[in-house]
Amino acid sequence: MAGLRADERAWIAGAQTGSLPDLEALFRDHWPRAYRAAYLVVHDGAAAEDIAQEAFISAIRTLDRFDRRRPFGPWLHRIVVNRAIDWARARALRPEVGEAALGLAVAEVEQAPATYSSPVLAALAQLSPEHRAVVVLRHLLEYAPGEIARMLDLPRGTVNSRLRRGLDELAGRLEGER
Amino acid sequence: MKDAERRRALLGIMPPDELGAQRRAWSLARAAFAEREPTPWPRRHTRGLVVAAAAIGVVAAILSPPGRAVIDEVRDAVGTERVVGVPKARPALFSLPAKGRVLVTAPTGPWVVSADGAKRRLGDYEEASWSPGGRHVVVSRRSQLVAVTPKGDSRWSLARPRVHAARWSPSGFRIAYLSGANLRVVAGDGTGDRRLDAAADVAPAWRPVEDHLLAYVRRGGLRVVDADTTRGVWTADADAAPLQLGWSSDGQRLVLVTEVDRGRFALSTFDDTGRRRQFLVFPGRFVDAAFAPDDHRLALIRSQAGRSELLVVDADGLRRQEPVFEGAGRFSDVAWDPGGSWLLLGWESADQWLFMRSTDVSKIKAVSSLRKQFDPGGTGAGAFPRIEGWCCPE
Repeated sequence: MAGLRADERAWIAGAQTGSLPDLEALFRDHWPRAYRAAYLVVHDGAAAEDIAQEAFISAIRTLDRFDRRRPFGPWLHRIVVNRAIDWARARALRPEVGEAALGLAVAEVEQAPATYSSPVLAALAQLSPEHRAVVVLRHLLEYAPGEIARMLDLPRGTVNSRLRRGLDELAGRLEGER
Repeated sequence: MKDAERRRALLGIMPPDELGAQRRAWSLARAAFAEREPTPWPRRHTRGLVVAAAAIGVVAAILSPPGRAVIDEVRDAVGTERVVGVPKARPALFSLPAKGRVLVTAPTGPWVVSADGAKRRLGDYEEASWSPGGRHVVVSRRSQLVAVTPKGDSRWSLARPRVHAARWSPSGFRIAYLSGANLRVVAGDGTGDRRLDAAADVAPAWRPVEDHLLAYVRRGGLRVVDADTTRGVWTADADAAPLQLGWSSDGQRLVLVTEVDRGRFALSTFDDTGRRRQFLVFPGRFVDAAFAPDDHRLALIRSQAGRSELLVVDADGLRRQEPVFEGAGRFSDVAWDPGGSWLLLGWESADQWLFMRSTDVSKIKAVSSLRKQFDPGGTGAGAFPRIEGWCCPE
């Protein structure tokens, strides 16, 4: 992952002192990747939008405490990907709010079966949220395994094994599609 | 597949409505940015010095002969502080007189008070409302709606602008809330959030006995709709400014409180088909109302000429009114215990809660210093804690 760019450092400094244009520049630079990363982990547009929105709002609320010398991306992506994993885990563990009664609501709202616009997305959907997150962090956001380990609070070996296993499964499923 | 191919493949996946999502997110981010107060470095470090210098100055002024003279003058002008409230109030909340838990919103956030008096803070939120059965609480702050457990663990959250007045449906399957001037509905698990209609700034009310019938007020009218199909069930004219809306526990009566003018308010009672059964204008300023959990009695607070009154009104005959308690200053809110035997009255001017065995005021328990109790470690100088509801036992 590239280091901190001079323009990003200026945007962060500006936003910390209350500059809306600087915040907007920071937002426009980071939103597309944050939203895409969330979507690739949760596979639900509305949820991805909420997750990325909340991550930005959370980042904005703590902007004053942010160390300007550090890059903004990893800080934001850490929030996004961890929330996306939590959301995907919760959805897998229906009922989501802990009661059978509330779980029924899900069935009513989400009737449509999942359809995927690309074979890669369909293959990704077969992986666990934890594996999807590692693949997305490595191959979409281009973080090194050591950086991913720090972001997800995992040993580096776990990241490497999840990455290897995720990619093997992905390759196998894409092979099966052909 | 090589790394570059994987990246191209992942970049080739287009999330839905990317531009729309970005536009919506920016609008929220901008609002969140406007709400925050940046604390520049020099202010952070000089604040303590300024406070210390001011304190030294004040002490010096007080100790000087001219300072003492000023203080004496002020004391004479203001007079002795008027004490209001029940004199034998307990200084701390030891226990509730009936089963259940009370949900409170203080400046420090929402709190759940258990029957044994134990208090738990749910987080940094501005409003809160029970789920049916009290298994969850829906809480909100300006740009976020969150479902939490009574222990404060977050289940899900949703970012929306100017969120307030969230209410969980009796089935547990839906939550209605206001986002700015929009009424929105989301499933109990946080999915399927959608806009239902434009709405006035009054909390929507779910009909207790039928799934997902929702009453709300929009310009010029009271509406009851099926929140799942958006089909209108009935409407009624409501031209005056709405203040509160609530169903009786059996879903047979809907009461709408409206402002007539600065010194009067009106109660309108509708039956379940939308027919207006009662209408009565009350003198005074409306403060709060709550239906009893087992019949059509309505506890009502009004204030007039520096005093407040709690009365119980029969929604089937609004002229049948039973005065329960009257006091100096301002009462803030009222709630029934889940069994319908006790009333909890917030007495803001006295910084007290009064637990009254229904309308029998001879049995009364008072607790004082509420502001301080919900501001542990603080000064308790903030707003009086709001009673959001007295719900079911754990």
